Amino acid sequence: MSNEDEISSAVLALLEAALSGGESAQVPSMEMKLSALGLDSLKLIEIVFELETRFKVMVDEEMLARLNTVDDLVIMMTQALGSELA
Amino acid sequence: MTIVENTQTTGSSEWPALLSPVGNVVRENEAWCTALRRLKLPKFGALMSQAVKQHECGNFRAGVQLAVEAMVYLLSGRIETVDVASGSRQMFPVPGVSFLRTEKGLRAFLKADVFTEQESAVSIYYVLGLCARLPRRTVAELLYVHSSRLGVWLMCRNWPDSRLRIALRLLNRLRFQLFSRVRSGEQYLVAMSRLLGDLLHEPGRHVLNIMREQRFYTQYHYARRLRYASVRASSGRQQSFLFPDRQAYLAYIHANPGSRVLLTIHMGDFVGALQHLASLAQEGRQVITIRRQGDEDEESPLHIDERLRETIVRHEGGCAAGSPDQKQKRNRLDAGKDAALRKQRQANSTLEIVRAMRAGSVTLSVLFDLQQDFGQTTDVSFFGQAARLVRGPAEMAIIGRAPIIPFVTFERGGVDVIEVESLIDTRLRAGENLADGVGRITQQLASLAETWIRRTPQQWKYLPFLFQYFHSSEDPAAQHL
Repeated sequence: MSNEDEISSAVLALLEAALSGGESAQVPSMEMKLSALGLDSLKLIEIVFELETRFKVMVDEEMLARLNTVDDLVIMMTQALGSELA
Repeated sequence: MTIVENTQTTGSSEWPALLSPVGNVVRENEAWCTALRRLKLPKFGALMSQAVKQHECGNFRAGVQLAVEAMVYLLSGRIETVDVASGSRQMFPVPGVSFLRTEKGLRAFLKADVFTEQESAVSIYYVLGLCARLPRRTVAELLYVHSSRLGVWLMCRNWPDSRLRIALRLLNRLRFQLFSRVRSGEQYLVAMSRLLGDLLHEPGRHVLNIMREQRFYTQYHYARRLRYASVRASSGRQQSFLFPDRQAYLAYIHANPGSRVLLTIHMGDFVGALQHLASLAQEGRQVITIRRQGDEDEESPLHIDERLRETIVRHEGGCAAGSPDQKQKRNRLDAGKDAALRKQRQANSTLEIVRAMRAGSVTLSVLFDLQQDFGQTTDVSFFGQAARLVRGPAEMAIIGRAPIIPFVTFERGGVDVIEVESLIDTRLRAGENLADGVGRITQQLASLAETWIRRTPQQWKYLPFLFQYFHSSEDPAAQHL
């Protein structure tokens, strides 16, 4: 499994877990907007932190400001991991 | 379908019986309003009449909002213990409504964007029932309510400190006497002095003095906060705090220019202390303050210092019931038209705060002695009880990768003092996950808060609500009324 696949799986798993207790348990997909998932204000950054811990990276804080879709989250983590490996 | 018929079909058959004797007149609005006018509550009657009309027109959110406004109006003319004794706030049957008792009195917030027909009907019935079962107001209670309103008036005066203190002290002595002459007030004092005495390890008589002083300090410091809202911090303000650790604090912040989180509780002149600490920061530093949504507008701006870049972030919450002009925009947002946008803005603001903290050179100022109404909580031990405290402050410090500087301010011998505690390193320990770290650090904060509160309980704003932090959230004092 490539790094990007591993990251995608982790992102989707964490989002599903975060949404599972909610009133409308959506199944997240890559093109979905993060705002449409209805996550708590802290929940999204918890997920980012969890991903950083799992993959032992620190994301570029400028990219945090540009997160829009689930795919953006995957791209951000992939770039962070790529920077770490470089 | 009338309200009565609708309620009966939903199975809430106990509501008409509960509302007797006024329940029978709900069928005909005019007859019901007449009955309410007999109770000499024309404004209450008008609000409830509007609530019913909105309900009948299908505007269920407006129905709930007006019913809640009527309830707040009703309770604002009564001693606070009537609210506790009736359990009205805790028992309000519609989940999307929350209540907040501020220095200026009771406020209500509609947290939900949409309310159902049943919720609207239940709200209306509940408030009608509350009106019917409240005991008659005595002369002592009437005088108490008027003295409370005088206290609110005094708090809003821009008087010099010395004059304000004298006036508030005299008024509070009078109010305390009147409070103890109202039956529910006397019972409340007896119960609270015993319960708080157990927690604080103080004799009952001393606790009564603490409670009276606590009321004075709450009003006095509120008056000071109102003054801060209108005036920029001046160099003179810095002189008014005794800060023994000032040099050590300055040395630390100059050697460590990265982000940090200043945490404190609602004790003493906490706004003034936040201003004072922020004024010691380097020029151009960004200061982010998280305030609760629902604060009075005149209290809301925390003018720190013109040298600093200040941002105030409103904590997510409901819109106040009632709609003064300046709240029209929030009303519209909460009416559901921009609900998604509001949620996105709140999420973005948290993300922005964390992003700014990680970028460095940001001071985040937060008050951490808050309960579940202000965010998700985590379990802690507090005053020897299983309790809940908000997890957000610790969590944002961990995720924002910034250390915590806990501090407290209190008055000692007429002088405001700032004490800074040891730095809290927010890096996770080996084997710790985020939840573990949040729990550990929040417990550290709870222990600090407990130490501070035990030392000067009368200066803690939330002392009367200490029991609401515990897992057993029912106010034990209410059980004795």
